[in-house]
Amino acid sequence: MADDKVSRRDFLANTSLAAGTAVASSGAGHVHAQEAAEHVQSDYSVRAKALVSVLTKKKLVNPATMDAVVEFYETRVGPHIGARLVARSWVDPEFRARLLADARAVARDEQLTGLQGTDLVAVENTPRVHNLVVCTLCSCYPWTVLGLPPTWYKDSGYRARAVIDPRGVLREFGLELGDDVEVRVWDSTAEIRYLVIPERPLGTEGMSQEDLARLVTRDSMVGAEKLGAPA
Amino acid sequence: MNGIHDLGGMDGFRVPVRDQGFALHEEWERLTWGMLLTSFGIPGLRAGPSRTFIENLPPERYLAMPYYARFLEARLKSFLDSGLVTQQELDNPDGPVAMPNLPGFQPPTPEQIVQFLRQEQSGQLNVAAPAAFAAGDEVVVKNDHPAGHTRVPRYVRGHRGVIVRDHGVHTFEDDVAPGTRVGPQHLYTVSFTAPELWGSRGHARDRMHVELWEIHLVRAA
Repeated sequence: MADDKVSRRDFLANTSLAAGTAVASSGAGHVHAQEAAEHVQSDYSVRAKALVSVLTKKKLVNPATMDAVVEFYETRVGPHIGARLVARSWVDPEFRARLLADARAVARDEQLTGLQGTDLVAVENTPRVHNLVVCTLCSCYPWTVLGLPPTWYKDSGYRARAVIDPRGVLREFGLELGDDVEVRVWDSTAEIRYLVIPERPLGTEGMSQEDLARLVTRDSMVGAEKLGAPA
Repeated sequence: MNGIHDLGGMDGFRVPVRDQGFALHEEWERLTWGMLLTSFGIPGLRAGPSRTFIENLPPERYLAMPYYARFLEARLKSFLDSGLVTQQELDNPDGPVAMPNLPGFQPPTPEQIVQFLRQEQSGQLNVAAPAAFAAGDEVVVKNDHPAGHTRVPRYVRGHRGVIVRDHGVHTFEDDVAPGTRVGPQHLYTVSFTAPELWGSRGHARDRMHVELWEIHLVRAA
């Protein structure tokens, strides 16, 4: 959790700086940016609290319902659902074929419908093809199978560069792809939502579907990383 | 519109560090998210203009704002515009408020909201219409720069691609001038080679895919 906070602050520092000037790489610039970011955070915190307080008093929103929304996306709908589909696609060729042919129908059969993800499409990574998903215009993401998009996915830098330099982005993410690999970028500009089926890691023969699902990371299902062999 | 939100292909940005864990990190983000998804159905509140508001933000402000802040500010403005909330009330949230005159309105319960979140929400319509294009057809994206909202990113305009999938008839999401009838359209995934879009910076093997509606496309000569 502590790491999350740090990267979140870094992100805000970057975006604050990107507002007018080039991103400062010096230590001093970074500290100023962090202070600015903290200020921005507390400002939005005051505004969000004021609005919610007024709406609650006016009985326009119900705080218990607001909590239920957050709880729903924090604990019930998340990447564990996509991971289950991926693990099953590794052990069940018939399921994999169905998922690739019509993920929308599979999602309906599995009762995985919901906001942002009803029109699901699955794409598979192979030794020769690597898929990467982005939403350059905003933040479209398959909520029904991956939950809410992480901060990095909505970041201006990812959105700007994933389409013009996917190999460079993946390199910075720690994944170097050879010239013999085809990169396919999917920019979600309508209601179609993409799920990447990562390659099954080596050394997982004989593992149960449940154990396999635990190996599947959220970011691998966006195409931002490959899965390593289990430790 | 050619707004700052249409970021695809721009240089100068840093690639972010990949944060892990749940997306709502701060308390105000959780509040904002809960408020956004539970205030859809309030009578008199026009929630739709959020996108317009966000895409019309001054570019320097858009870039400086945290993601959820854009939606918070958009919904704040919708509430103020609707008259359901006043600036005085927001400035003094512990003070008195005027109760809205909405007879019979009840905000959704937790059970109702979970049902709503589980609902099928498809862009596809059960409408039969002939498709102008089929997988394998070569098309060119019209080079248009509408002042309103469009789902055609700048980086594909005027470029040649191939239809890879017909998704059937979908709700058309671009804003069009009042009185112009466009209506539901076939939606296609169009595939472009990287060199077609990015010239010498595009890797010969790579392809970019974008969903575009029929009206955005013409058959390649």
